[in-house]
Amino acid sequence: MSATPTLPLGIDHKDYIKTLSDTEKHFAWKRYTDAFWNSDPLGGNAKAEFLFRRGFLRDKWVLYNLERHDAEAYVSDFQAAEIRQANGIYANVLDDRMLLIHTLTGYCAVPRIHALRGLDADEVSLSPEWAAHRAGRPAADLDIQILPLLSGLQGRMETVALRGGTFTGFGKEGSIHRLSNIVKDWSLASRVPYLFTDAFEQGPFMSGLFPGSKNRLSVILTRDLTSWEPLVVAAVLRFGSRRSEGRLDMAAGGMSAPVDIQSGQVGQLACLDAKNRVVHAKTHPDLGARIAGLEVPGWADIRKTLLRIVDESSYMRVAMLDFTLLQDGSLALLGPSSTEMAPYQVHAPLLQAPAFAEVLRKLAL
Amino acid sequence: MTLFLPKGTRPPGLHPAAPRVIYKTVRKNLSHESRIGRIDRSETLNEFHAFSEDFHARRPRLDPEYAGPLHNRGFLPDKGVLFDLDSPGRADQYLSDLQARILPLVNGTRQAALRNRLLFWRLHRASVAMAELVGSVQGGRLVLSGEAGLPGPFLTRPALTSDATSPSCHADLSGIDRDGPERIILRLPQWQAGQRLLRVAVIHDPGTGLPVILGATVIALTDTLGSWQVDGAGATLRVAQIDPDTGLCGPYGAMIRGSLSPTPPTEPDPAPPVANWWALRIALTGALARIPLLGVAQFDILETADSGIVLDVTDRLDTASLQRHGPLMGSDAAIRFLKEFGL
Amino acid sequence: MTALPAFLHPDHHAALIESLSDPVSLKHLKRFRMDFSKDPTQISDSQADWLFAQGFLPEKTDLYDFGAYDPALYLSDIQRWLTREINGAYSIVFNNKVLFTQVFRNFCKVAPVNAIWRNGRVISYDGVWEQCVAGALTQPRKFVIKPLGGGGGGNVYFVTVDAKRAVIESNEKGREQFTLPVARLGDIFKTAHVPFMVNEFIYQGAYSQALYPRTVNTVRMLVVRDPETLQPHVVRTVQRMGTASSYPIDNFTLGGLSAEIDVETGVLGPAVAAAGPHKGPKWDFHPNTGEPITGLVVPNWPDVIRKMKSLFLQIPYIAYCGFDLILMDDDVVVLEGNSYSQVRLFQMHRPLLSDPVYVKVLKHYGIYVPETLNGDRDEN
Repeated sequence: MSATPTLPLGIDHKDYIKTLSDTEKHFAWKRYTDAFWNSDPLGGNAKAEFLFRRGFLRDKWVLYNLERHDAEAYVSDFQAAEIRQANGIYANVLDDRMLLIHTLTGYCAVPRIHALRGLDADEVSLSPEWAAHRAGRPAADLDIQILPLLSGLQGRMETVALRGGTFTGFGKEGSIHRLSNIVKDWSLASRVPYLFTDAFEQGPFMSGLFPGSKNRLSVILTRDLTSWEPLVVAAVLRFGSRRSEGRLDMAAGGMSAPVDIQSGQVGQLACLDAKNRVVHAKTHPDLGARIAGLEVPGWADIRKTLLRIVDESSYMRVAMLDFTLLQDGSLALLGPSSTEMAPYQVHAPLLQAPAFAEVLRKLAL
Repeated sequence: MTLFLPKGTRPPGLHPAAPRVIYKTVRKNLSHESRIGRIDRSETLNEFHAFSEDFHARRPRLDPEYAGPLHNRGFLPDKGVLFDLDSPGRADQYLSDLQARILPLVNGTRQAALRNRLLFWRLHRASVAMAELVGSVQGGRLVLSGEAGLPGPFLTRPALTSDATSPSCHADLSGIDRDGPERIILRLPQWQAGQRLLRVAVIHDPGTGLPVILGATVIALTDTLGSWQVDGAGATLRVAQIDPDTGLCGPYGAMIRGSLSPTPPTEPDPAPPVANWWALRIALTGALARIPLLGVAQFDILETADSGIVLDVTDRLDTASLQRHGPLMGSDAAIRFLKEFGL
Repeated sequence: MTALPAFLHPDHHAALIESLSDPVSLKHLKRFRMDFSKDPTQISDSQADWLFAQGFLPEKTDLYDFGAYDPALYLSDIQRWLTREINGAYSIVFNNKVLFTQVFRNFCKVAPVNAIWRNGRVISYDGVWEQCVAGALTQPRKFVIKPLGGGGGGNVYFVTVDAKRAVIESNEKGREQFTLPVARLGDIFKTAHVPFMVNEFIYQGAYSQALYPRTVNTVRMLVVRDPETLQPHVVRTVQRMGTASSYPIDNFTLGGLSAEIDVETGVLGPAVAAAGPHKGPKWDFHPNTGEPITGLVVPNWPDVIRKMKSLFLQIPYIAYCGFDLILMDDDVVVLEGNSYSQVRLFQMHRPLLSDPVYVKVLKHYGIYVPETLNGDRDEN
């Protein structure tokens, strides 16, 4: 472990706290502090003072193996949570699922929006099929995803099947109007509107990673802030395991495998074993299916699309997005990613990429 | 501007400097226009609007050609003529009326003591040589804190600095009106013809952590007992600048508060130097160093034969008299102060 | 003077100013008061006091007919600044032309983006810019190049490119018309300090062209969302027309004309100007061309209204917008949206607050205050 006292980006979280002057930053600090004490040290002997000073949550001692690795090359959890601020007023393009879908419609497949359940107003039908289901008219069957309009806020995410005006899902069934009332309660409870969209069916490549979960291609995109050239910083495939029961987060047993930005080749997966040790493997531990060495189909086009998204969205500095690949191999937007850096940094620290470190430095993150 | 200690050092036992930062970030651009553009918090916006309403209520109204640049730089209409602000770039050297309203915010929680004279006198009479507080007028009663029958003269002032009522002088306590808002009663040690008032603006120098004199001016008192024509609208003053390093004074120049008429010419001869300025300054800044540090304060000191005695303390600088002979904000300490507190 | 409708409180302007207390509103009030202080219009002391207290800039004594209409019927300048907050965090959709195009192209016809110039680099969207620079165009093409940021200002360039050279017309002082060899097309941005957007030029339809052939003559349509029904409501529309003094654009501030279009019938009223040589009279005929204005009927008008309402329905997060439209012979191009539309071009014809749905919207967002602080409540 390095004992270097200065961090590459000059962040000493504890010193930083002393300089806080505005409310927003105080909230950021409060959120981080809460998250720190709620984070699971994963059974490791996490050094709280060491991690807190550097803005890492307690699970990172194990996930990044900070006993042996230099913490200063890793993007801290505090920095990661602040990354959305880098887009200034345009952060809303990534935070708001409807606006994000509208913005990326010209670049990749996006889920169709069927309805919006607002806070102060009635539900708005946004597709003829949804309106038909509501009106009791004949309409095509729909698989619907229900999720909060704004990402990063607490709220439920559920998938339901809608057949002839009747829904089935999350252990309930009933009329579409009953569904509306249930979602209204969720909406009022979490003070956020809810969105009803198509639920994508993942294609063979994605389901092949682990069929029991909705798997994701997660990417970090940015640009060189001098030349304004777009960059793909990192890409990982995230998929589940028997233990994770459909979830993708690593603490629950989710897996992450890095994708080589140039070639699209998949590297060794990383996950936590039952004893919370980081394990790297070439094959899926439950299925035995090969992961390392796979190639993401159509990667050259995917990469081109990702770069085009950044290049043409000239107002955007950093974007973290989740995609899936459909039956025909096309890239489909799932939504904004969480700012959790573990799926990326469990493989290699992100600040090793000088371009990304430079972006964070310029953005004073 | 004199510094009492080498840069960066701080005498032991002093409270660490902690005045408040007013804007989110410290900016390089110190022009009044960009400063006003950055005003975005309720407390500073409220000061802007109070200033703006005052500006627009003043009569006669200025032509928009003059009103726009003055208002949008934070100066009341009279300052255009008084400070000769027509020359380009000149305004940025002067402390504006709006800044004078906003500056007290750097005093943070210590504003309370500076806004209530009764409180300030009680808290700090041991630290600074202040005129004796003999009592107050409260709820229609004269409340005396010491023995009755002390000789005058007496000066009464509103207890709250937000109350713009002019002070008044009285030969004895019986002449003090019991009605009206709460006031403090100070006993003046002596009252002689030709006596002068020293008005000293002190700021916290972020470079040294010490109080430093931003500017000082001497005002010739023409008053007789019963009047105090220093701060009221329309008051005519004779004002001379004090060199804070030596106590030597420049020549007197007259000014009429709030007037849009041309400023009368400066007199040819320098005003007499302040007696014992050096001792007075050490006493004042030394005393201030013992008070938990203030970001900004203005002291009115009655000049006496051997030194001076504090008659008033406020956090609202009198931009007109302090800048009658030149701008306040050109010094290094002033610029450091503005940058540090985002003012 | 026209009577005040029952739904309007006579003192609502002063009540609004008294009610402003949050930093965002106080910031808009600051902006208004700074603008007020430098407004060169000559007014009396009592007029100044009244306008300052009501939230109108002195210029409005020249532009609005306070004699014929009760001032309570007009949207004040401070109210107009506050409309900026109605779309909230979604204002970015209008304030950034790239994002506007990305979103709106899904629902309506917009001007296609060919390229963006930013940080010294041309970001090509469709390869057309490279074709131009390489001299590979087989037919001449015309582009509009304008600053990426919204809010007006900045220079606009109209560029006609063929295989060899580009002819550029602009409102940039000293560079009104110039020519560049295609290889040096990028020199247009030589003096630029802000990002620019290159759009394909939209050829307006015959109706718009006839109004004043030297400029693109756009329609400004103010659309709001009824906070109760969530349905779109078209408040007012005007036809803008260029003049010799506003050339090469139809900008109202630079001397262009505005004629109200009746929302129901599509019939044009007389035109007015807010600046330049044509300010003052009402124009039944275009002052430069003599073409008739008053009584003209906008072709396919019900279709235009229907398309704009449908657009509004599909984008539920917008609540208030002044759209700029180019009317083509068989379609509408939505050129841009303004989240806090200028209102002079509407109110110089007649005040906006006669529309009860519009007042309802303002009230919903705290921009119309029907109650004075001393409790004088509007019972309507």
